Amino acid sequence: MPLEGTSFGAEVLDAVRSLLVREHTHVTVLHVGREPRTVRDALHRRHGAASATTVPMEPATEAPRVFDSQTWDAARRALVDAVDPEVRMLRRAGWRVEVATAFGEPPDEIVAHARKHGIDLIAMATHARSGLARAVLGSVAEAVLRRAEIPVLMVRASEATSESEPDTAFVVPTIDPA
Amino acid sequence: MYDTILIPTDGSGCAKVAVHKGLALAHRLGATVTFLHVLENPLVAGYAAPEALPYSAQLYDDLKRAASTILDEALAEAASMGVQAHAKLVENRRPADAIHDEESGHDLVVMGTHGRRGVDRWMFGSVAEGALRRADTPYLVVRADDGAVEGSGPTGDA
Repeated sequence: MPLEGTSFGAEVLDAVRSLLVREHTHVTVLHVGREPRTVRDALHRRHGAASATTVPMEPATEAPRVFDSQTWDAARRALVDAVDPEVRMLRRAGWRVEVATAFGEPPDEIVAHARKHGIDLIAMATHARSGLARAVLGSVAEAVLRRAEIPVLMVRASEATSESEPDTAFVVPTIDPA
Repeated sequence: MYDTILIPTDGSGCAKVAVHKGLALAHRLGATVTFLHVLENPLVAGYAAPEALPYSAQLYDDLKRAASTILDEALAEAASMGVQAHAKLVENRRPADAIHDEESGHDLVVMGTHGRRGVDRWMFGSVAEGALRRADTPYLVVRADDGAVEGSGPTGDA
């Protein structure tokens, strides 16, 4: 199930639990974040320098990733920590859960992850909106829905859990072949 | 938790996949199913030319007959799987609106769409997306061409 928001909607977890058979399901919680700011800045600086002096960009873009590995690690840890309560809750209930992280555009990363790992179902939350904004399905959800080649379960998250949008957390259950 | 499942169907291939998968899910969960078919006014919907106006009553009768056939087939499939189901025909309403009206009485909506890009846009643009945008009920969107999910998927009963 895909889910938007910095925390999981209880609704999505409920839906996963109701629809899927625990023994046959492997859940991956995928949390997609933005690139850490310092890395982005470093990349920009390198890119800028590279284009100004027409130096090939390839080595330059590699360098900051290595240089800032601590920043990446910290960012990754933050993504994992953010979904920790939900992951723990699922594990306590006996589900097999793993956490994955990615950096980039959420729809791209979600669809790519699902494809790469042979995911069978994407579960996600859409935001509860009111008024004008309500006409707009979460843009992430809509993009995933359009591009995914597998079933997508969408659950509207309650108002309380859907206020902030910047990060995206996902539960992507995989059905065991067994 | 999911005791009632709404499956809108227009009789198309991808709707049949939704019927099939939705029923498999209902079977596993012990849920009851409502099949919904929406009959638009062909003149309002824009697929009958004004010149057809004199025949519109007859056209509508034909469409209505086709609609009952679609719903009867779905009911027959439900019966063969031992799933309790009933059918609802809504007339003179935009499909997305009708689905939205109906969903509140259900715990889950199962809808079909084509998995292929391109077709996606067309199929999805109209009905499913229109309904989804206002959805308060969880939606399970299934694909017409994901054969892998047919047998072993989350909606397939073991």
